[in-house]
Amino acid sequence: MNESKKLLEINELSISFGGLNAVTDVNFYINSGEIFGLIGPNGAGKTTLFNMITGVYLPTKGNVTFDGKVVSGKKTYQINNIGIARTFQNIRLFREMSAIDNVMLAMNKETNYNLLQCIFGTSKYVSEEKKIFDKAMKLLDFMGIAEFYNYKAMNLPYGQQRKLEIARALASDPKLLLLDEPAAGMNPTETAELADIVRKIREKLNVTILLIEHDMSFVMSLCERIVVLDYGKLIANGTPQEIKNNPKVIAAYLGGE
Amino acid sequence: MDKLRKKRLLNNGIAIVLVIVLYVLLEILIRTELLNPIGFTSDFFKKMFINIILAVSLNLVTGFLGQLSLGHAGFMSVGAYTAALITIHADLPIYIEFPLALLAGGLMAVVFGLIVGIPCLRLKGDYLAILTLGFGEIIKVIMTNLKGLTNGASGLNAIPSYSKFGYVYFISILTVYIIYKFIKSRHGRAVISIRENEIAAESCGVNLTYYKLFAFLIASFFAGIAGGLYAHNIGYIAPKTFDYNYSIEILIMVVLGGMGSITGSVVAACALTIIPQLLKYMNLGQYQMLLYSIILIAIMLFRPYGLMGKYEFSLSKLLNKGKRASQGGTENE
Repeated sequence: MNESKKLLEINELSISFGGLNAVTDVNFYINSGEIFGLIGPNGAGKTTLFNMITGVYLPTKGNVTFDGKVVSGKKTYQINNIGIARTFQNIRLFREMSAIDNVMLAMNKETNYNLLQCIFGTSKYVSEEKKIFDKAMKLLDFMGIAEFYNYKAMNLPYGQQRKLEIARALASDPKLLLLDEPAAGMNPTETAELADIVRKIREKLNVTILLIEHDMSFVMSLCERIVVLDYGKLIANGTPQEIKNNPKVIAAYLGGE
Repeated sequence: MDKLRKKRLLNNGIAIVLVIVLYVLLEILIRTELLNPIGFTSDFFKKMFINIILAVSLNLVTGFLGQLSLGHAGFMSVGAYTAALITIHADLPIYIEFPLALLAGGLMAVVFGLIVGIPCLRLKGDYLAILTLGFGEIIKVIMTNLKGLTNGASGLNAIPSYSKFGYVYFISILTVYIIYKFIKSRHGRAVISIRENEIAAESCGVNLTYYKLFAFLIASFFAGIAGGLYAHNIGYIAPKTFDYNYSIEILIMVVLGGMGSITGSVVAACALTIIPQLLKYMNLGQYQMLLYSIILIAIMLFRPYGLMGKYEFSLSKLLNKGKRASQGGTENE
């Protein structure tokens, strides 16, 4: 029963920048526990949609509801606090901070000590810091990058940076994880490994996943349902099999009549 | 766990001993007036430690938060006037009056920090630099025109000289310690993450405005305290004491030492107090600005991230040299 609960609903969502309608009247929903794909040609408005979900942009029309509550109009950090975390298309790590600090930062809201307690180094401060340090280590271990915990984020190889970004997103205990082109720039072996990680995140951590990706074999093998955007409009919504055979999708990607 | 705790206590103990040893040494130097011929008098050492407070607190905003502030001397001015007015007009024993005056100076600087910070820290971009630059000038004009309270352009004099070297020294050490602890805490991580990437920080749940303001107000507070110490050291303050040049001088200390390194700020604050004094001693005082520029150009060429970059001196790392450093979170100043 829980499986079919709607976690995220996008209702009539539109945004325009000046005269450009970047996203127009998009409707779809994601069930709790799904791995959901969002695809479309370049410039279709996929990342813009992510930015509207996470509160970076304010939609000009329509809204986003999460867990039954409207989140549009909330600030980005508030949306993170209620359970939506994301990664970025162009990696945005805290480059000068160590890998573990990157992850520990995202646990700020569950760390419970004030300024005085840290100045005096009370046992509360020590135990809270240890608690999130251990939890962050576990997450790094989960992503297979525990050995790099003390490296500055900018000194990690590209693939590990991608993983660290996912670890950081998971650190805030999200119910929904938005992945913006997680497989970009990865070779086939790394992509396969990533697919396993995404499945593991869903199984072990109970996180619903919405991902943007251009690697079709990755999306088709991983996602249960897919929506396709083209020029800001939703042109298809269905299982990978349905999407593959949809003439509109083929036209959007390959050019049609 | 217990072993770690013991180690931490030991490190803390060593740090405290070192702080006291340094104090005793400096106090002996001052009392015996050994270095007075060069000009390293007690006033000089006080100025040096006041500069340390200013540089370290500005580094919190400019180095760690990544926002440019060009009006640090303005906050110092607010603190100095507030504290001086209290000690001039109040009639309390020094051990109550002085701490009270310093605290009031710090808090008044925080109030002004709120006025400056709330509108511009909600925005993204360099608005803080513009507004603090204006603030520094505005404060100067206000202090000049509030003749009844501040005695106008001629300034306040006959401020009791409460700033004994010991006070200045220990307040300065305390400031460095508090800001160091702040940086290493969850608040510090949030502040640094804003410098690194605002968008990512916000989508990791960091309330940008709150943390920007938090860091800015802490810096204002310590600038206010430093102002109070300054007023009670020199015994005389005027609006032009805390002008734009002073703000820039503090900024130079931060940039020279390394934005994002407390150690760097301390070193640079000491160096930039010592160098002008030595020049004066050698009768080369008029070349001070020339030398500053040359030093800055050299630093930008050879060490673009400042003397220390983002390096932080750590006693426990030094003590553990040779041994494997234990896991994070146990460092000490």
